[in-house]
Amino acid sequence: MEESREHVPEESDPRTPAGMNVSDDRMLDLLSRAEPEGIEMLYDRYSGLAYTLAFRVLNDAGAAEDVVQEAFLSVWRRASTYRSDRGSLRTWVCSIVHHRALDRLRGRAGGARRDVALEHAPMAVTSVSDTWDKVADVLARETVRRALDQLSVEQRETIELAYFGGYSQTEISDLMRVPLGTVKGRTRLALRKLRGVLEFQVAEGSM
Amino acid sequence: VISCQDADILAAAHSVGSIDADDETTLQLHLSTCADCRRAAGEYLATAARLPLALEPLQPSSDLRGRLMRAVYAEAEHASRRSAPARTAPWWQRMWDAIPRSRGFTVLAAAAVVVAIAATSWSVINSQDTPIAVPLAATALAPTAHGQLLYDRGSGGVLTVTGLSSPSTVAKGGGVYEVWLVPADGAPVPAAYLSQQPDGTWSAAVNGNVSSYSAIAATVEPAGGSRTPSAVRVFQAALTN
Repeated sequence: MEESREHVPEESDPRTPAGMNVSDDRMLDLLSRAEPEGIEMLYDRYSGLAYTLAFRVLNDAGAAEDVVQEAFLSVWRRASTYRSDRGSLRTWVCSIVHHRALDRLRGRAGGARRDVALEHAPMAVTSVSDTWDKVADVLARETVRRALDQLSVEQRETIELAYFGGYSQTEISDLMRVPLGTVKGRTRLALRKLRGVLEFQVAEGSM
Repeated sequence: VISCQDADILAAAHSVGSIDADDETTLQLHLSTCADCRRAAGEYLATAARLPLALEPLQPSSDLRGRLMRAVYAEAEHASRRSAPARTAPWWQRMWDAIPRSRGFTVLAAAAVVVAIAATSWSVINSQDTPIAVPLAATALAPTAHGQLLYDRGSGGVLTVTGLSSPSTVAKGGGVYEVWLVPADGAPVPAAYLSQQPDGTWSAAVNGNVSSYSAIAATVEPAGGSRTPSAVRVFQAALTN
């Protein structure tokens, strides 16, 4: 028999996710060779973040899971196009999930959008498997929240409406009743400020 | 044409997904020629990608991982088949692989199956060796299954089965009928998936030297197939060497 097939794993033991202790380089190496283990590890590493983002945008568990599955399949198919000099794997995964979630949101009739503030996002039972992972997640969350707290109310609202609400700059201009140029300026300034604060906090060792 | 300053403003909007459609085109044109702005755009994207970290973490259902990996393994298998050197695959196998099974049978695909089976039958009938037709023995799981494997010695063959309902009705969680070639000693080897034609018949082109195996069988497996067969056999047949 010429061909052989890889095993499709049964549901894995959630106590030992494959990607938790694997470097991005290792996952990239596997992905570049079209090894399914690469996407398995990537999923274990980033599926929680991806789902959190998709659910926040869509507010629909089924749709969010669809987006996550589509996004990871897209990563699997396009792994050879990934360039590390253009951003981390996390950035790449989040960008794909975000774009797909926004596409789905904008495709909905009536656009069932949400405007819930970040800290009021819904809770759910988590299954973070390791104490250190949990600690790292909490630290990262607190760090980003502190950075967001540095923004003005208007800047923060603009970012939330755009990134999580799926509103275009023109729509935000209408919603906030400010000129389009103001929205563009706020977006840019907010991101620059966030970047600066996050870089400082990372340098200080809090993330 | 826009300035780098304008591109920077658009890149920020792009990173949070709020850029207007016209501006997106303008930005991409600029980025295609400006490395500095590409770098800046990447920094905005990296910053935006940290925003989800501020949310209370959620987890998808435990089913999602399995669904994703079944799809990944199915694509990997398909890719490995397609990347095999064409000259090593028999003509009927190449025709079979060209059928878009994942999207269901189109008229063209169905016609290709009919042609593949007919051509294989013609090949068998006109070969110098005596063609071999092996009747299938149904199991209690699919008692109405009826069919045969038609093959040449030293080559592959075509399996046709009638009286089968969908895999999900035969076994819980069933997604596909997977065909296995069973050697005299050793583990069964995955050979093909049965596909349903418009007339309800199930068929598969079976790859490899069929006559070198002792038996053929089909099981119900999850979508995407398995490396090792489950115990859920729906039919089987001993092969003539």
